Amino acid sequence: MNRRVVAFLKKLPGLAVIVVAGTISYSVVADSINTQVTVSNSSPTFSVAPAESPVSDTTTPTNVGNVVTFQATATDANNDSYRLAICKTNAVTPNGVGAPTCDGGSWCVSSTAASGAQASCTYTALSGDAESNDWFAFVCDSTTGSTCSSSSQGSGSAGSPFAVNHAPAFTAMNSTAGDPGATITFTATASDADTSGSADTVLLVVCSVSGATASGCTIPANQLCISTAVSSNPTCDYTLPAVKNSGTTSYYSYVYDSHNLGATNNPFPSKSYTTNNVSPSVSNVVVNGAADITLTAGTTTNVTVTGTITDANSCQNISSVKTSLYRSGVGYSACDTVGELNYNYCYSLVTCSVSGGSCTGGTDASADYSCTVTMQYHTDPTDVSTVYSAENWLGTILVTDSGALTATAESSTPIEVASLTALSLDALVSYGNIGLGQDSGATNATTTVTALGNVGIDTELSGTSMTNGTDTIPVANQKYGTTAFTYSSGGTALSTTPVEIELNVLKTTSVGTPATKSLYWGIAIPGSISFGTYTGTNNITAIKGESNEW
Amino acid sequence: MNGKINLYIAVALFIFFAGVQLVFFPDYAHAASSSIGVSPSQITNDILTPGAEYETKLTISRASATIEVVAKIEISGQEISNWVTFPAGDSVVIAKGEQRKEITVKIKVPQDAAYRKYEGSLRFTVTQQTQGQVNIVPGVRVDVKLTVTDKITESIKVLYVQAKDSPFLAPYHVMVKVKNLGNAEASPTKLNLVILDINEKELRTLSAQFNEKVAAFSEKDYDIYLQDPTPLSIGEYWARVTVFGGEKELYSDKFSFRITESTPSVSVSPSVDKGSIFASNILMITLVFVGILTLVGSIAIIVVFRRKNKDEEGT
Repeated sequence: MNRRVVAFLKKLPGLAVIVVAGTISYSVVADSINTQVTVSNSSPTFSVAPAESPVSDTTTPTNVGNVVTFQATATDANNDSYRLAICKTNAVTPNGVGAPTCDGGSWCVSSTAASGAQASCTYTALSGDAESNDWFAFVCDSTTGSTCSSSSQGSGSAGSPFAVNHAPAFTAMNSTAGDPGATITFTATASDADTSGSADTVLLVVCSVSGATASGCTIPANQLCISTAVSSNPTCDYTLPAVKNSGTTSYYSYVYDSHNLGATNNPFPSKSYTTNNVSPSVSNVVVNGAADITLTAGTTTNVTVTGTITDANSCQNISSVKTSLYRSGVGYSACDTVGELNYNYCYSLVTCSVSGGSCTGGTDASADYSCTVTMQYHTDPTDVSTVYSAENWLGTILVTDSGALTATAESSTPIEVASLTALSLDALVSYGNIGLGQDSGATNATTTVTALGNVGIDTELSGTSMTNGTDTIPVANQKYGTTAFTYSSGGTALSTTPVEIELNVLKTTSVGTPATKSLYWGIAIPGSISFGTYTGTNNITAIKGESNEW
Repeated sequence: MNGKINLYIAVALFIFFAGVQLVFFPDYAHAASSSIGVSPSQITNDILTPGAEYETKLTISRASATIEVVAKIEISGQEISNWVTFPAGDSVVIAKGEQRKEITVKIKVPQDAAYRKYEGSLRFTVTQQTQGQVNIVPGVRVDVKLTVTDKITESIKVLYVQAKDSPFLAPYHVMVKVKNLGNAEASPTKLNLVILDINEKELRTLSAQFNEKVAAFSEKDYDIYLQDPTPLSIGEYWARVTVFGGEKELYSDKFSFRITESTPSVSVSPSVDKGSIFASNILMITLVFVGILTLVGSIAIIVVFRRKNKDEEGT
């Protein structure tokens, strides 16, 4: 068999020559005739199947407002250029050199592309589009008598249909109010109607400053909270700073669906959350450094009360701080109004001032305050052998914040106001002119003793002899009494040894009317001493009187 | 006419001398007053033990401070006269403008003092120069009542507590001021510190012991440091402090405090301000230059004038 084939093939060229020669001979010797043939237009054909770019399917749909790009490559046997038509139905009508017409509407039609070159066209997804949209791709040549290919719907996930993702609905936004340090909740009224593939979820992002994506706030530090993805009405929680001014604070809320498409009204307009005004507190109230108070004879003494004010709305939220200083038996409730002021037992509502630099700003909760209470010399004592020895002195600080919330605290360590034994006296006693052997008779010199402390006082009296440098009037020639007396029948002789007398000067209770008592003096002049002015010294010493005689 | 003139002269002289009297002899116009006060009005201690020693304060005061006065202190009471001393002396100068003066009184009980009560007094008198028949010397008596006993009394009082601001990572610092009212050494035993955040959520509980005693009748400031094994961050906190004497709670209160940024250590070495030296050198050079210019200018002026004069003489 093979040998015969090989033999035939060897003879084939010679046979061919004979045939051709014969043909040429025939034609040379035959007559010429006209011939005509019409070459028909071929429709282009897909060389690369149509596809979406990027893929638009239920997993990665095209968000409303975004573009679906359709691409394909076709070749035309006639080497005509062609157009890619993406039609809504499986029907297209070519239009010569013009764009073909999709009978049932088009998604898009490309411009012309050369045979063998890629053609593409785009479609912008609209909110009115269905979730799933069939497409039919045709390639039509651009020439007279154009024709179109049969349709192709591509294949796989890049093929028909393309998917459209719609924006979630975001209709309301609310937040709870909270105290500083508490957790508040943001709640969005939002949902997404898309269900193709799987139902879309919604996510809430809340920022303190405008700017967010589905991943969170543009500036992470501004993010208040982000919710988990839920089917509807997402919520998220935010913990307020431990120290925050009361009032409203703006926030910006955004809702995104599970394909990162934001609601059309992101951020929700004009929202704010509320930080509550909370009560301030007072601590560490200390009166006079926890030391007992010693007053000053006849005048005032400044006593300092200190304390710390704390407000979770910040130390700048404080409107006023005042202190009351009072005897414990009186109590703060009887010393908490200006009208209850009494310089014996109640120093009410003295204004305090912040200690420099202790309130550093809006994020600082605490500030130290100092109050200066000006105490009168006759303030009730509470130490031993006094009327109120079973009591002591306390201080309360009252704070009022800008929202009119108040708080008080009393000093932990009670202190004493010490007894002050004090007096003032006329500086001298003048008996006038008395003759030798004479006495002052019923005329008394007087000394006014004024109580300038906070106790009633008795007195000790003693004195020296009077002298003119030469002669002496013995001290016993002077007499004294607590009432007026006639020298010859009354009075008590003065001595160099102190003698206590029950003068019973009352405790002063009012600066305007200090308590006083008079001492009365008389003198007898010896019969034989030289003429002249005699001087001497009398000691009047105050003694703390018995408390039941104040 | 001469009579009228003589009358006028007489009236004028009268007015003159009366005025002089008023100016130079004010004692006849009114009597001056003086004042003195002492607080507290008594010194009492009924739990002294033999050999006990302590100090107390008295404040001498006066209503008017227009002149300097001297307050003298006298002790009366034979039993206690050797027990009481004044470290600053028994004479106190109260300067012009000074209304209060605090003095220290030291009391020392002899080792062989018997167990009983002792009484005495201190007299404070103020002397000032006046002119008159009888000068009145005001004074104040302070009674001293002491009791020597063999009974031991322990009594600790916490005056106040303060939570200090602490640098980050440093131990928390609590200052406690304590007064021993008893007649034997004593101290609180324990301090508890509960730290809360500014919204009063409890964060930590720490405690510390008091290691040093307070002498009888004395005060002491304790600085207590508590190290936190898991330090808190910078911020503001509450500290609830409780001080115990054995099982008894002596004191409890709440304070705010801050944990602040750590203070970096800074070493300071003497340095020379090169800028200031440079500036001072420039100033020196400038002054010298100006001086030289002035001198040269002056010489030039002199020379010019001399030549001018010569020229004028020549012509």
